[in-house]
Amino acid sequence: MLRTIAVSAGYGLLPVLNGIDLSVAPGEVVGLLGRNGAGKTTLLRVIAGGLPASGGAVVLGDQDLTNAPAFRRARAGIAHVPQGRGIFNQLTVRQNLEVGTRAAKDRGDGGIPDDIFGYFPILREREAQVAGTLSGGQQQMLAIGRALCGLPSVLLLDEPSEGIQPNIVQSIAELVPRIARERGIAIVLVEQNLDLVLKASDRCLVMEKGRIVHEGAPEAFADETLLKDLLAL
Amino acid sequence: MIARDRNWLLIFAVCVALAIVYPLFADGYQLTVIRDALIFGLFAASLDFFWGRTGILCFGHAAFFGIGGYIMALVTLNDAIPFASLLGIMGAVAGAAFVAAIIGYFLFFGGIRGSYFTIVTLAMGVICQQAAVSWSSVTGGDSGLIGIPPIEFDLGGLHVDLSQDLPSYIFVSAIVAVAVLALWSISRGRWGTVLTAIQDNEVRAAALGHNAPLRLLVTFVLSAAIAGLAGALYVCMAGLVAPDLSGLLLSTEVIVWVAVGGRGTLLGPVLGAIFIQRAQQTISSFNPSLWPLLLGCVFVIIVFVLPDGILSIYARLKSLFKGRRRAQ
Repeated sequence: MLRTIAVSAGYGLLPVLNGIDLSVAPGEVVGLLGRNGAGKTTLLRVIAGGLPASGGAVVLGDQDLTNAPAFRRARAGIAHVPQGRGIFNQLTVRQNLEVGTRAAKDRGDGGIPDDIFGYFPILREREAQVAGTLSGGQQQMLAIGRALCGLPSVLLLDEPSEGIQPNIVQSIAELVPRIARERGIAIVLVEQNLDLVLKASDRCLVMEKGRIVHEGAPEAFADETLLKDLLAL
Repeated sequence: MIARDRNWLLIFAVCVALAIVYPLFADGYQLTVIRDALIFGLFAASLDFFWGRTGILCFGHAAFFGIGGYIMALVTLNDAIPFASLLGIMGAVAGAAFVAAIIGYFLFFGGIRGSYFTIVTLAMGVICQQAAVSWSSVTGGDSGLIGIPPIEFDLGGLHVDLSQDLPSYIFVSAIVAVAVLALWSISRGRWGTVLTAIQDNEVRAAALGHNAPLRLLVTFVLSAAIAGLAGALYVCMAGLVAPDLSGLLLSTEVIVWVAVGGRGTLLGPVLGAIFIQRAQQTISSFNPSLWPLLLGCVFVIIVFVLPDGILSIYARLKSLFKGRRRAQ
């Protein structure tokens, strides 16, 4: 179970998050919606340790990770797939996956889990290819596969559909809930693509000005008036 | 095994074979020239192990070479110390590693990277050279320490005496070969892969569970330890140690050797060091003032024409011919 308790954070003197309470259960996909600048990416960065929290707490199970550096959070089970994917361009696909196994060294056998290739068969085909030469969609699959190599209990996905062709967006929308269910991972999905987020999520939260202002089941967001109110769509 | 590794091992084997047959054709003086060049080659490989894999340039690497040299000199010149040669080498390696660990700790864990790291290490080299000049009661000041005895020790009933040219050449060649092979094995394995990942995107590597500052620190310390070993070997062969050995000029020269030989190849910098030093001796013998000018020109040409160093000539020619064949 991942919990953030009244988390606040910002860049310099500029506050971005104002007391975020969030909890995600194992196997659950929580979609995070909101306009640009609402603080979605910042929240993921704070959970992953890329940005320090100025207040509140980040708790995974019974471990308080609020002050832990990013590499300790990764080893505790928090995986973050950022915007832009962060693939190691000079390394091959296999080497990228191997680098991803470090987080699981204390919990697993240190190898690449076989079922990663079940989710993303293309990674097996392109194992020896230099990652920088993959297409955007393939890089996104590699980024998610690499995060799964760390056997995480929490997966933070930031805009997985960004710059990707529609058929791959579709397969990501199907894979995200499947991965959560099969591996018991708590997934936080930040996404601008409303179709994807409503299809993949069990529960949706809407952020505005650094706060969570609405929570509901994906079906509730079919109401156009609500969408207009919350997201100005 | 991938083709790149196979090519590397092939070139390594050719170099070892050349080093073995060289004494058959060379006189004592030529042997000592190559022996000293090989020591500087080891020094260049130590810099390449860090710079080549992390992309972070240390501009004061001669500080570690000098620290190793001075520790070796002080230990072997003290008659009261038993097993002076072996203890001296161990002290030189440990001393250089210790200084690198202290400085590296504050730099890496303080988030100092890129050109800031380069500038701080440049200052470190200058400070080391100044300390060697000023602390004259220990270091001998400007003139340094002379009369350092050749390496001599007993190991498992085998008496090693490196006062002669051939044994010292064989000893140095063997150490350089073993060290370069060991550094290459580390670089191409998982350690090297993670270093490449850190070089590519340190924040991402940390988010995948890697303690990037610690890994950079260990690599830096290992690199400094090898530089210290090279310094210790050099002063025993030369018989003297002076502040120049930790100075800015040597720090600059070693960067040129690595760049000319090919950064990230480990073997290239050794060849670069030998090649540049031989060229320096030949050219300086008929006009000493010509050398710095030529060295500058060679450096600029290499950076523009062969950015991956002289070791990449074969690969570039191969791709050129392939391209021509395809065009026909």
